[in-house]
Amino acid sequence: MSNFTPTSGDSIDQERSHAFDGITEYDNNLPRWWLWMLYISVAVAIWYVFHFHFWTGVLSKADVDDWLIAKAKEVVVAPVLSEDDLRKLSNDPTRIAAGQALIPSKMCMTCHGPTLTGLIGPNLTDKYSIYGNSMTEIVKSLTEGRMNNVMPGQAIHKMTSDEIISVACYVANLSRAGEKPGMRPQAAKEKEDPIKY
Amino acid sequence: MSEPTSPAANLETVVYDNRWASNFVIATLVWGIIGMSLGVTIALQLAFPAANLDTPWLTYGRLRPLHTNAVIFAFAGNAIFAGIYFSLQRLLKTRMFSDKLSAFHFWGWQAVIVAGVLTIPFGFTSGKEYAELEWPIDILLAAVWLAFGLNMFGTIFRRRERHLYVAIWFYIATWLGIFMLHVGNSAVYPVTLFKSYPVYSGIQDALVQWWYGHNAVAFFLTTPFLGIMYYFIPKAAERPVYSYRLSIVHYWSLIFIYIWAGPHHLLHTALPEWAQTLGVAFSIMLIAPSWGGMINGLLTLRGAWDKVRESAVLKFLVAAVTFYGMATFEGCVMALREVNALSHNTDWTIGHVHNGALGWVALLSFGMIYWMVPKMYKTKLWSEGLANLHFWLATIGVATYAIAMWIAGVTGGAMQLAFDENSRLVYTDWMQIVNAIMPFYWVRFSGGCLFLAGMLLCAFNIWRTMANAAKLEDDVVLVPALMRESRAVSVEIDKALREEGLGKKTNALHDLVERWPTALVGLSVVVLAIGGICELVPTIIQGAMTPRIASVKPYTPLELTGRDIYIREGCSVCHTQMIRTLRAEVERYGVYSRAGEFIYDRPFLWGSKRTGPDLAREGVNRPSASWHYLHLEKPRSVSQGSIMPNYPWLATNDMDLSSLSRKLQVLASFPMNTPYSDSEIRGAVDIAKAQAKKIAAELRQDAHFKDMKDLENKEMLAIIAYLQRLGTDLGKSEKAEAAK
Repeated sequence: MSNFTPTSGDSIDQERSHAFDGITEYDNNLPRWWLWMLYISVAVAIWYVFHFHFWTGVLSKADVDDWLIAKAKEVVVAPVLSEDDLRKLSNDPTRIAAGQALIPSKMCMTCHGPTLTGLIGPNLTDKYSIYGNSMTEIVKSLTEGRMNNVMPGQAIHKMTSDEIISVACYVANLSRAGEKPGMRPQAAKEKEDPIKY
Repeated sequence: MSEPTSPAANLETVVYDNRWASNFVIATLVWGIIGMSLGVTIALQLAFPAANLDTPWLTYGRLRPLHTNAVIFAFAGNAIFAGIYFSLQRLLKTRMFSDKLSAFHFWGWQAVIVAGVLTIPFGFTSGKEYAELEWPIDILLAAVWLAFGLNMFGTIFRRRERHLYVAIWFYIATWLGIFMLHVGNSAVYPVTLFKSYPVYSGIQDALVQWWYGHNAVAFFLTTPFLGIMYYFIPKAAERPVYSYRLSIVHYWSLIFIYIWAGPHHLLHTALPEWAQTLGVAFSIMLIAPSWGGMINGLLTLRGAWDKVRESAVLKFLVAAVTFYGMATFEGCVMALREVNALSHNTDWTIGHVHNGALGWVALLSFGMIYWMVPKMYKTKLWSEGLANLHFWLATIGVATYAIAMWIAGVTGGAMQLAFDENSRLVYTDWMQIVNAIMPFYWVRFSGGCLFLAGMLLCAFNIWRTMANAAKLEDDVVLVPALMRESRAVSVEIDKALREEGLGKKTNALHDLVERWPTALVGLSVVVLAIGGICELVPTIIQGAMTPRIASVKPYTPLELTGRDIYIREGCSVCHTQMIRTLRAEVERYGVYSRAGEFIYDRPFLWGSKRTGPDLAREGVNRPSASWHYLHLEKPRSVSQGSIMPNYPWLATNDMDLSSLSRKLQVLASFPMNTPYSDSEIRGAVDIAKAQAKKIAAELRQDAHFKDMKDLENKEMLAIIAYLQRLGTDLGKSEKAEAAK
């Protein structure tokens, strides 16, 4: 306990004459380091008020508001790609790889299954599509979401427009690579006309 | 050795009552086993959701509040009373004021807890953390607390010791603090016997709740145990208390500063920033008073450290005080805005709470029990070896728990805040966060099991000790009678005290206060009340002036029904409804929450832990009724790996609309004044049914729900209505402005 022993002079260890059920008390001074801790904490507390409200204000509401305003100015409108452009891009191996890399972290597997062969969402490897034979529709699903965001849109998965195109390329390529056994197409909903990209 | 100058006094016989102290010990052990078993159960449920067993009263959301209540009020509460009933009599040289009051206090307290066990798991809850008990039980609790106060102050009044020892100051602060907090936070308007709405709403309710919640930690888990520490450490170590002066300074500074720190539970929220800053500043200052208690406990052991090696009692007491120092330091750190941005709503908070509850409160209680039971039963502890084993199980258990929660908390917090180099969230899928911390939920579970095993050993050891002893008898002692202080004597005493006080005026002054309980109580009340008044009054005034957001409207009758189901199921135990003013949260959930959005929220449901994602803008982010239906019925059907319990009964239970009109009427009455019209109040049931029909029609568009009969009468529709509403009002005002 030598670490805890206060500076000499602090502990004179003189007992007060009172005893409570045999408990006596020393009349020692406050340990000096404790007293310093008290003074410094009071000083830091006062400094903190100025630091937060008048000087730097990091992590304040105003801070977030500034950032929101700056962000609103930065919004870049993504170029709209035509169906033909999209189909051309979907053969680019780097695009496909980039799309594939995004799948595990963007919640796709939750609904489409770990192999994307369908779970509660449809099988992505078959040749049928609920929204028609078009990559533009895939991009639309990923951007706006479907069925009230049951199929999440950009607002939830937060992918950029560029990332969405990569994922669309990967998904288009899945159908091209051949159907894997999985969830059967929903006849009532999906077009009978198979996808030909 | 009583009064320094009193003449040879007459000796009087005192009979110390051991029965009720012993009963409180037994209750501590029984409730300890129950409360900690519940803790281990819910720890398992988080790691292994099938352990929710698809049974309403066994789900996490309902058992977690039962666990916190059982450990705080049943285990720690009974331990406090055991310590107070044992030490108060001996420190004041008199028997407890009234045996009948002791009996009423004991049985009344157990009745409150049993009432909690019979209501909380069945969904009768106020929805406010650590204050879940509904209003009739709150009233019973207040009555029992008054009885305890009467018994304690009666004992003080009849004392044979002029001075009140420092332990008793802390007992007095405990009684005053809890009475003030309990009454203040329980201001509700009853709807039925088991349902009420708080008179406060939104940010006011939040501030009152955390003024209560934070200071329940202060005055239920800190001050009474400091009192216990001041009695049991010097007794067990047979050493004088290190510094009387430190006792004085840290007592007054602790009770003054603690009260102010409540808002640190609401950092970055819609609470006014000035109130948050006060919470931070006072939390910084709280370290010195807290550590004052720790060093006075530890330095008392100077010269007794050799005893710690052999004595299990001293091991428990030393470890407890050390944990106290660590947990209070941790608390100050977590109260800084910069740290809180990461730590708040994560498992770190859970770890912090357990450092205090297991490390400080439980270890101190165990040390106290191992020391006082053999004293009362005039025997030896049945097995010192078993007590030592208990010590190691408990210490390793709480350390395992804390380390697991630190890692889980920092990992989860950092993942929620993480931005990539393009300033975009790295972990957009909540399941990534759950999966990352899942291994630590298992480690935490194992730590809890170790601690519970120790608790069982303790109960067994104490049971054997009690059973082996002769019958429990009261202690009979001879003590000097308290002399009436004539004026001359009292002047003489003052003089002596001043000399003894080594010329220090403060000591002599405080000596006077200690001999005059009314002054001690009065001063304590003032010191306790200042912080609360300075924060609550302006917030209530400011709250009343919260800028109204025109588009924020009261909940519809169906949404209100759904909200009450949300409260019943304890959804807010795992889901917050507060998007903090942090970039990462705005990115993840949408615009940060505004104070004006919560003016109709009674109680507020901001929550304090995000086991699942925030729901403040759920209506904006996920408006689909069918998704919510499937998710609530069986979360893993739409969200693989989710650890949320299944709520299949929401799909089969019919909505209970019997008290709906009354609910609206209560909310519309003074002082809540929610703007419901008379026709809305009278026709509440019809309005609710019409809205349910609309949602049912929406659901039936999906093939899955097409043939479901009776869909519109189920509880599921009410909670869906509520979830669809969450956070949508603010957007309506933006749209309205855009239209202009």
